[in-house]
Amino acid sequence: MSVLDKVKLWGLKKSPWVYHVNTGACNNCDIEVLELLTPRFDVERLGVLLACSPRHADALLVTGICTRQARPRLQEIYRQTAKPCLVVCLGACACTAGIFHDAWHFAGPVDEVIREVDPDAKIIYIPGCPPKPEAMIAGIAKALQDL
Amino acid sequence: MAEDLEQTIQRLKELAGDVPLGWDRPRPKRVYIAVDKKDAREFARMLFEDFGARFATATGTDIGEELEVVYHFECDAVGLVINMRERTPKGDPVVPSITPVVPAADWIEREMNDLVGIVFDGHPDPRRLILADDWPDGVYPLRRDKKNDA
Ligand code: SF4
Repeated sequence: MSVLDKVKLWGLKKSPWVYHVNTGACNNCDIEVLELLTPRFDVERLGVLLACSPRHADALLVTGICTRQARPRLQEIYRQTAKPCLVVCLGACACTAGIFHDAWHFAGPVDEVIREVDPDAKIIYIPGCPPKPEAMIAGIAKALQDL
Repeated sequence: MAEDLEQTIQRLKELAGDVPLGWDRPRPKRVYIAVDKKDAREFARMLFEDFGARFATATGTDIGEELEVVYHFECDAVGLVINMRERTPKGDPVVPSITPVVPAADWIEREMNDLVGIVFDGHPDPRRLILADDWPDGVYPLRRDKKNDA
């Protein structure tokens, strides 16, 4: 790993800015993401900031199955992020497609859709329907440790 | 004194007159009213304006040979739910739109058009609402004969 890559990883771990992408969630996972920002969990104290643009993001928080309409958009958002960028599949839907696995609007699990663009993408999975905010914090912390 | 449930239903019966084809009250606070599709818009207008019910939502279903549209109206003061149902054969999936008289029905009628292929005649803005942009025309995902290829 080059020095530059090391610096990039160090920056990523220090204060991961996240961009929230809903690719077809029922909105419950999204509500739990908002919960993360409330004073009770307050992930900003850990340096996790919600970014307004994928270009500022160190991690994408993807919720929901990838629908036919969202698929190209998710890929475009991933292309726009600065690499390395973590992709966090939040919730049963994003991890496995959940109960929607044979629905008519389903266009591939989130990890496959991302790997089409970048086969070496760093993808982590946080299951739950929806996952608890504690689980999200734990999952992201573990992922950052393993980088 | 505010009118109670039975008085409300009595008033509904008077306003409805002999328009309904069928009238069913499976539970005290639930009334299903079947109407001919040609009367649907006027009946919805009556429920909404004259009777004073609130439009909640609508449901489109493929029931085999026919398509059924159920408009759900609520009368919150007494907790009464009124379901206006109409049917149309699959070969002629056109029913009158109630959006001109009940504006809140706009998006749900467009959604039923997308998913079940019911055409709402007189809808002011019948564009595609929720299907993906590249979804083929004329394929309705919630029709019984649609098989999921995924
Ligand atoms: S995992 Fe559950 S809560 Fe999250 S989007 Fe899917 S159905 Fe909704």
